[in-house]
Amino acid sequence: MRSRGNIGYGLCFALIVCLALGGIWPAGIVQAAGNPSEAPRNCQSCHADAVFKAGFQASAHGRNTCVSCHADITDLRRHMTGENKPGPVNCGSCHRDVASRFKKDVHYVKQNFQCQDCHQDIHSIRKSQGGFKVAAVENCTQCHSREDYALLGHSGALLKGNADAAACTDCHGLHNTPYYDPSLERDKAAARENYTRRCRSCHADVKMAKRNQFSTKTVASYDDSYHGKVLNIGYPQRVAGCADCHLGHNILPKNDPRSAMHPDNMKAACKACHKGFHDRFVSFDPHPEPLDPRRSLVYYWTEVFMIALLGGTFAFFWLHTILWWRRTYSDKCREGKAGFIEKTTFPECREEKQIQRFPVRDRVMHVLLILSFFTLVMTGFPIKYYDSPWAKILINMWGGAYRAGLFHRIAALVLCGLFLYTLWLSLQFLFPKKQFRGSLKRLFGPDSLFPNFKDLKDIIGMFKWFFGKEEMPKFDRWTYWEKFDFFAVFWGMTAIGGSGFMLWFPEKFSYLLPGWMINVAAVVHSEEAFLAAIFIFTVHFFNNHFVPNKFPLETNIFTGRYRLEALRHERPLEYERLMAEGRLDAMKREGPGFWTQLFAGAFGLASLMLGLLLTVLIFWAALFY
Amino acid sequence: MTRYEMRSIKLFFIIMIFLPMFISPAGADQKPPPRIEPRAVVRMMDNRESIVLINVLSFLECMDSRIPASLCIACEEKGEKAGLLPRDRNAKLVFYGGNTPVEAGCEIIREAQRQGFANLYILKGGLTAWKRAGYEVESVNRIPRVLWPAVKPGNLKPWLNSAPGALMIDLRSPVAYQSHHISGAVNMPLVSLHRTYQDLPWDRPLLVIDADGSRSFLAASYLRRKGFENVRRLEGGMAAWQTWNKRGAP
Repeated sequence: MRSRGNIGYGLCFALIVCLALGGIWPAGIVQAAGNPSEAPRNCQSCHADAVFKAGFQASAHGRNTCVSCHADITDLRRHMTGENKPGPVNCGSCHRDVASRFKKDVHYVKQNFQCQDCHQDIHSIRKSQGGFKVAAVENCTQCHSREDYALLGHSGALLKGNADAAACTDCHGLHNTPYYDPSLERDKAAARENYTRRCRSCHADVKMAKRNQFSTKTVASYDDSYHGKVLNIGYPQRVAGCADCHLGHNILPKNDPRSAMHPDNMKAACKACHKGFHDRFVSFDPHPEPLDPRRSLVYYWTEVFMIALLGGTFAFFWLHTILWWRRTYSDKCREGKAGFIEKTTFPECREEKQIQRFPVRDRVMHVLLILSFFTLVMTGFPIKYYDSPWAKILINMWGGAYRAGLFHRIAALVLCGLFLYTLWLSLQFLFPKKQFRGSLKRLFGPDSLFPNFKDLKDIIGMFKWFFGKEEMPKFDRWTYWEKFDFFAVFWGMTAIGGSGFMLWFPEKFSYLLPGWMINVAAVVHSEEAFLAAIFIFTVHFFNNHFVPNKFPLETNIFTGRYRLEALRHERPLEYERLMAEGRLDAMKREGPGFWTQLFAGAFGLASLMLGLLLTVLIFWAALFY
Repeated sequence: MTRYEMRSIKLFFIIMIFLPMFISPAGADQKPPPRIEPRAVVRMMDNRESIVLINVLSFLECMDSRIPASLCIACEEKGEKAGLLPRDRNAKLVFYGGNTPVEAGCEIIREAQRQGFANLYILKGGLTAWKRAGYEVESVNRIPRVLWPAVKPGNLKPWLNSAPGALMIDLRSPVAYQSHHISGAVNMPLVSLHRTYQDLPWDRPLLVIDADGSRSFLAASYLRRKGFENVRRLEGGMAAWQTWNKRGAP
């Protein structure tokens, strides 16, 4: 009995041991494996390599347990017999953010990399002695050879000890290196935008520039170039970003023969985008600084000339406008105080006969001029002021920068057509039926738009009238400000049109002119555009529409009709001449029809409103951006 | 020559001229399947439509990474694996490759067309687009990557000089290899590398070359795992090699 009892106790004890082994062991394994230092008999008794012992304890993960990562090992015996093999470790269970970003990383997307592929020393990984940046370069150059990617330039400087220099990860990102499919235009554009932004983040940093003795003007000058402006407005598809010229790796000073920017290699750099250019094309400066005479005297003096032209023109005509307005306003005040009832302009003439001032041809030309001019302003100025808040809105209204550029060029061609046609008409005026006799008389005659000595006297007379010294000068068919408007278009077309074509076909022009002339063209095009737009929207608008006796709109350029009484008051010399020559009766017409008046009013007022709105936007951008 | 013989010769030439019209390659009149976006495939899956995804890359690549539950039938494997295609001819078959578009001459797609499958699609952007869209993939037998710098086309000659006896292995299809290849390279298509790698010399440096550099990394890693100690790859593949030859720079 006793022995039976002993056997029974023994069985019970054995059962308890079995239960303990069967039930508690796995938990014990997990628990013990949880701290390798406390349970050396478990994981490390088999995984006895140094890397799993001291190496792991000293690593960045040393405070973790084995099963923190190898969470799928739950049965030691099955693991030891090879039945419970550990699966891939899910690093994302702790490094959630990194894992999430890595889903978009090129190494995962294109090559199916996993964490352990780069972090092969995961059991002994620790912070690099040389710092994070050096560690990143060391890691990347395991595949991307050091000779090709990190020997020189940024990474080279970093490895030599300059902590400011860019590591691979500064440009390409870490765990989120974007993938760009070179066969997709949108990807190429996104890559260009991204890498240009990355370059800018350091090269526009004033403190970093000071420490490393480079100029932040490099970024500012790129932004002010055609490449930079178009890229910044949101159309990087067709313009060069930083890496297009400087290439991505081993970037060296331009005096190093290995540099892409070395004069011997510039042609190859330009050829990446531009085709069919003369060798002199490479003298184009992609980082122009027109206000720095040390960089280029030609740009400097071009810029100075354009500023002087703008300053002089606006100083004269804005003063002229202010004084004119002041004189007219003071006249009205004086009349009001004297008891005169304010009357509309020539009310007694409303029902009178009118004369034909502009034929249909001129009216159509002016409408086309307005349409093309507004198109040019509304497609060009968003590029000029790319960083103003309205620039992108305006560009998007055209359907993006590409379409805006297309409209800009179409409008330019329309304007060129008008210019050439006007030139043809001018020649016909000077040499009617190929008659050269009397052409000088016609050139300086009263029907000509060419300035003459009387215009100078009229300017002086007008200023005397502004200050109440004299009566207002008597004008003939064309006033001096109208002649200026006409010649401003001719000058503007030569300057803007010529420079515009150079910017449109830079490669072709390199066969005629050196590449640096493209920089000159860019300055002239930009400044002349400002002059033209602001002059039209302020001076031309005032002289022809906002002057108190014409306010708010003079419609004769749209209706073609001019009131006879207005002719007598505003252009007395022409009136008298027409009377003396007996031509006035032949010019008399009925007033414009309803639809003509409606079109003239609606189109004219809309143009004025749009012009004023654009003036506000341009000044806003010019002053604050 | 008799009149009868003359007629026979004329007839022979006429037949020879017009014969190609009647013996154009089978399936040449069949249009390539339409392309389908990853999200449209997911929508089909969510709607529990009868859809079969077919990875047309090599067996090694398919095992390494594929859309879950895909079949692995490489483009070139029509005879061997055509039997894996589903019996339901109304099932939607979505073929996909890797970075590069599925080739127009992909044999398994033609085979599916010949067998009468009506709903064939090609996944637009392949596995890369699938991953970029954030969808999951599975690895049945992943090849751990071995990190080793590639050889740039411009450095190929110096490398060959520094590695005497090096063998260049062109991983592309025999057709692509025959059209152009680097002088001295032997053809060992990636699609059968898991069967043929043992034929390679164990003691010579190897350089693996693919079409555009996107597939040789896995092949090099596979060979290194199999015990070949000196395996390099040509960066950018044949595309970069050709560009370098044209421009003189990579």
